[in-house]
Amino acid sequence: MTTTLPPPTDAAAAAPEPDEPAARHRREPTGILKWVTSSDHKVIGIAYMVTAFCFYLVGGMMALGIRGQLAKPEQTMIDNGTYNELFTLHGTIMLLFFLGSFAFGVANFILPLQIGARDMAFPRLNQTSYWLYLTGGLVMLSGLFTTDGAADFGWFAYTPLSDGIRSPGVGGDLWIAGVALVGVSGIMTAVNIVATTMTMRAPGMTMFRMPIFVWNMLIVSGLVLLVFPVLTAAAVMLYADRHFGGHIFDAANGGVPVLWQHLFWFFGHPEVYILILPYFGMVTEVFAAYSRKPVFGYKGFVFATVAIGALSVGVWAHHMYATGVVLLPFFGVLTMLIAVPTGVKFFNWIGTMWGGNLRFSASLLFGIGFLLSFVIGGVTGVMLASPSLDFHLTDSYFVVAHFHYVLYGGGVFALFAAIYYWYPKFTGKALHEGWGKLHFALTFIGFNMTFLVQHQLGVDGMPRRTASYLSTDGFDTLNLISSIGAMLLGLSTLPFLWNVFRTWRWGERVGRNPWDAGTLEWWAPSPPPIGNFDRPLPAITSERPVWDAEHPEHPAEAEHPEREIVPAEASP
Amino acid sequence: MGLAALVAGCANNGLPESATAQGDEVTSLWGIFLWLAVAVAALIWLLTAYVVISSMRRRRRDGDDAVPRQKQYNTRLEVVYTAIPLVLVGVLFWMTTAVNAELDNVSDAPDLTVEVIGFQWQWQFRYPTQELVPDGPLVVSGSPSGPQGYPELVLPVGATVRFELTADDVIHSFWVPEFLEKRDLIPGVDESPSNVIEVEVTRAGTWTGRCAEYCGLNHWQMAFTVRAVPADEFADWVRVSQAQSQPMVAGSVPGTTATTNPVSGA
Repeated sequence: MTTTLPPPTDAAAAAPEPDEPAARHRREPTGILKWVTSSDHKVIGIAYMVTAFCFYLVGGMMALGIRGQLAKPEQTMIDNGTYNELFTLHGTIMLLFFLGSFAFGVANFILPLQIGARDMAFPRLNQTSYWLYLTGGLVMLSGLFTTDGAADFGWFAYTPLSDGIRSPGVGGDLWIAGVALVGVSGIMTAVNIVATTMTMRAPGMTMFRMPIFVWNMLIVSGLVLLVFPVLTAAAVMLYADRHFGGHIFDAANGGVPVLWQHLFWFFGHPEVYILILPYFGMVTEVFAAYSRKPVFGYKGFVFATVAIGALSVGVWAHHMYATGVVLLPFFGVLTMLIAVPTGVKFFNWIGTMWGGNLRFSASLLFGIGFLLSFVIGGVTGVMLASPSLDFHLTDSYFVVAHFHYVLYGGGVFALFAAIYYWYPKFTGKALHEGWGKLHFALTFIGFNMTFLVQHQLGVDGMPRRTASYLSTDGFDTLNLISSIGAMLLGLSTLPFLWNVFRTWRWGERVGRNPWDAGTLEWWAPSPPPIGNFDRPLPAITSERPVWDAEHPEHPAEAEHPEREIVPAEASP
Repeated sequence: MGLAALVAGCANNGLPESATAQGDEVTSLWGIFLWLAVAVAALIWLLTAYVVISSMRRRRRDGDDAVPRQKQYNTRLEVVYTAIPLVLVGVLFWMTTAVNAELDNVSDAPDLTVEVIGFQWQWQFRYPTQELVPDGPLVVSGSPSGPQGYPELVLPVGATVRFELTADDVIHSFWVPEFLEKRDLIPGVDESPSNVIEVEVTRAGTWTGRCAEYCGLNHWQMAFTVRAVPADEFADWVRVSQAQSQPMVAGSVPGTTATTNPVSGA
């Protein structure tokens, strides 16, 4: 299947593979049975993406409730208890059930294709992982239907607030169960991605010929294997405290409340990179494809990702400066250092587009929106890394603004860029560009309007997680602007949903490689059949074999051509 | 009014006007970080704008199908854009460490010590040397209360004030925005109080302080008023309050004997 051949001639392309899917006798199920039983990586990938997007809509509705409540001072539209449930679930859903899970969905679909494999290494494990994820999300949300409501101790569930005395409701237990389930699911997917990447690459695809997205998913999976077990273990410890008299975090009996914070953030900070690095990978592919250029500084980019991954496990306590129990200079300097490899990536992205022939598709617009927004989250991150400034800024709306610029400005913008980019590969049809551009414009305006002003709110003294504020506090104007922006951001989803619907009904079919992109998934039909490739792979001599095969006259330039070893027959 | 606030805000680069010597240090550091951040963001925005505009022009000239130069590496440039941020980060870290030392500095003999006790969802301020626990509302019922319902923290201008931060139920955080710093109140940390900070109040004024760490149902209403007054006025206030209030009972921390949580207490 994955035999490496020279760039194929027409005859080679037409020759059927001996074990082509059509030749197999098993009939594949269709309809609902297909979604429930298929272990094909593409079906599971789409199931992941659709499920994660549904969680995004649920979490987004909660955000609209939060912003509605805060639009004016002293509103009583949502009572304190409900408000606390809303922001707890909003945070948990977006971080544990949407952004990372959607990235796993994209990886499930795209990663095997990009390395020229037929499926993931462990298809059944892949299925199990998806069902654990879905179950975990539903279990957590089911807290809403219990008498005491869902969990309301914030998404990082600080003890002692989250213990059995302060938060006795069953919603808290369901939250813990959901987190543990999604933790196990994440570990399974990470094992699968590592195994697939390490063992199933097509001949010729060395590590340094893997697409950036594959590299990023490999590093993310390593991080998941390091920190998700800590989260799941901590969740079990919290459960033991709540029900079995564990006293692990219980100060009254010699336990240590701050231990929870260490365990949680040892997971929680790398988790931010687990969420964002896949999207760095996706947006890199987008920039390269629509610039018709190779990724600028490919190896530097890989090293930067490795550096971010390595540093990310040594910075957890920057969430805990104000506890007064951490070594400030150590965590301060490591946190600030992360700015260096992240800065390198910015120059890689701009360098990729530099001198390129940019095609301003909706996907690239989202990519550019990502650059412009994420840089703000990056520079405010350096400000927060300074303990001296963090003592003022932490737990204020400045932090809320910062991480939304990272996770929405960085994550979600890149997510939409990836959807528009890969949609033809997922479905065989391209999304409508006009609706896509409208979607982008509304998202960009709504997002910045919502979150830019929150920096100032935090600096002025508005703490996060406040269910309301007083008219005498002086927070009303900026909160109103933020809430109007949030409604706009909510509305921006409608053109997207319409676009998906109209493309499903009336969309035009496109070919294998509508964007003239370079990585292997564009060699397969759109959508790829079971088994993925219907023709021999092209020769893999760089990280974009399809470009090399289709544009043999335009290889990537060597930096020092005089040092290259020129094959005898090619020399003039 | 709005214009005056804007002008005042610009003077401190958007921060509230500092009311402590420590806050002044933070204000200077903030200015450096903020403008460097703005410069970096502006650089990325400008580079992106340049790339977009130049590419539009090139596309008009060369056509949609033109294949640009396939340049992938420029090692010298990569070294430069790695090294410059590294130097910047080093400088920023060096500056922040100096201010940090100021913020964490605790003197041998402060002019005034205040025990700050946070509990769901209220504050108590005790003055042990003066043997004073000023009367104040101790329970928030959950209905919106205005600043008139807040407990009051009275401080003398010009004095070094030590805050000993203690909590017994859940984690809270002591934040007066005009002090430009906050610290957590954590139950069960080995020694009590869990955190000690010192500030030198530099100007008179009345401000609102808040709990910054989410602490349950009525977290948003856990606020207090800070009133900084000249030293002689502070002495008068101590005298009058001592005459009015109950004597201080050692060791009785509110929130330990009776819960104020209407949910778990119900």
